[in-house]
Amino acid sequence: VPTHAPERFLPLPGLSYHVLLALGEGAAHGWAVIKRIRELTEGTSNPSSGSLYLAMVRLQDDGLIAESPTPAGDDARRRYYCLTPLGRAVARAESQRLERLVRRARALDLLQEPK
Amino acid sequence: MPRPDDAAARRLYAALLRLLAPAWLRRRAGAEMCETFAERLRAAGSPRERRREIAREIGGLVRVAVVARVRQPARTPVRRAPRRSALDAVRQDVRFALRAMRRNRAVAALAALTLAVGVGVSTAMFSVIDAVLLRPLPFDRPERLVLVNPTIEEWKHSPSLQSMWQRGRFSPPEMRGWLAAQRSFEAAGGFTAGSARVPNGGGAGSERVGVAQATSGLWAALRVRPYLGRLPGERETDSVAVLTYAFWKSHLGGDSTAVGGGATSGSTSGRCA
Repeated sequence: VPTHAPERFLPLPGLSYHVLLALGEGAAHGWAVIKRIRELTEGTSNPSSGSLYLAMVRLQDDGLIAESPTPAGDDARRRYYCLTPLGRAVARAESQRLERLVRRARALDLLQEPK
Repeated sequence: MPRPDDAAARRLYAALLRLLAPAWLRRRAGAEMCETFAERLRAAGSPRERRREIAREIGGLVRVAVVARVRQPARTPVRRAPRRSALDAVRQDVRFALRAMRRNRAVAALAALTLAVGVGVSTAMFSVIDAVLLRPLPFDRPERLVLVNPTIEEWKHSPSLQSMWQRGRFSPPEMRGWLAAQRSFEAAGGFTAGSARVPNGGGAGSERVGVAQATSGLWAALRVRPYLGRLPGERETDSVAVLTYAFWKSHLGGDSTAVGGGATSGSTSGRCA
């Protein structure tokens, strides 16, 4: 288990955070990750395969995600990825950081639609 | 069911990946990138959406290729060139230089010519400067030797003669008067330089050699001693010839019996210059 402090990775690049969130739902292959990211960002983020895999290679090198075995019955050429405990901790720390920002925005009355 | 033109798009994507992306990224994610690209095409609904996805993928690939080259992951091992000895390095440099010259002969020839002219000009200039400025005169205590010329004031403002006004010549009576009167120098002598025609060293024909008439004081001023024979004394006037060592060797064959002989009343050979 990697012993890095999750705060070391903050603030996380947007795409990396989206990948962690997508894999938070469970192990997935690249195309499934893209589809989940499109869903959870309501279509505002639609990364290319190149951008996605460059981000995933770096997350893998940092120990935030790891390869997981391909589920039985799926195409064996597909590689599946999942969150590591460190990845989960980093996703939590980044979410808390964003939540604090959102709280601040709400305090400044920036979250409500203008009446 | 993949459409027939999917294959062409996939080949294009694979070719661009090979061309643009750094090797480490291809090795680690190349196959998956191609696979994900194909799945995205299959998922595209309309032809228009398909075109948009292809454009997005290729744009992303180009951007990623640039970013991935700039920021390589630290754990990618960097292959270092094997250590070479200094001699190997020189050998390799020489081989490279020869190859480059063979490939571009005109440039090589021009460079060689430039070097040759440069070296030649520098050598010639140094030879002149060395002989004229650096090397002392071949006499004892050359720093105390002075050449005296009379000045001619009237020439100072003449356009054609002004360059010569400090380099006048003594007439023989002037010279005798000056030599008798001067007290500034330890020894002084006068000479006039010219040339004369003499029989060739080999016997056939004649040739012109440099000669000078000199007063006997010149030998004391130059502090020279004869290699052979004697130098003319004060009483003798124009009847004694002094030969240079080179002339004695080339025209008289270095014959020591030539001293005292010859057409004039007494010949002696001069000191080797």
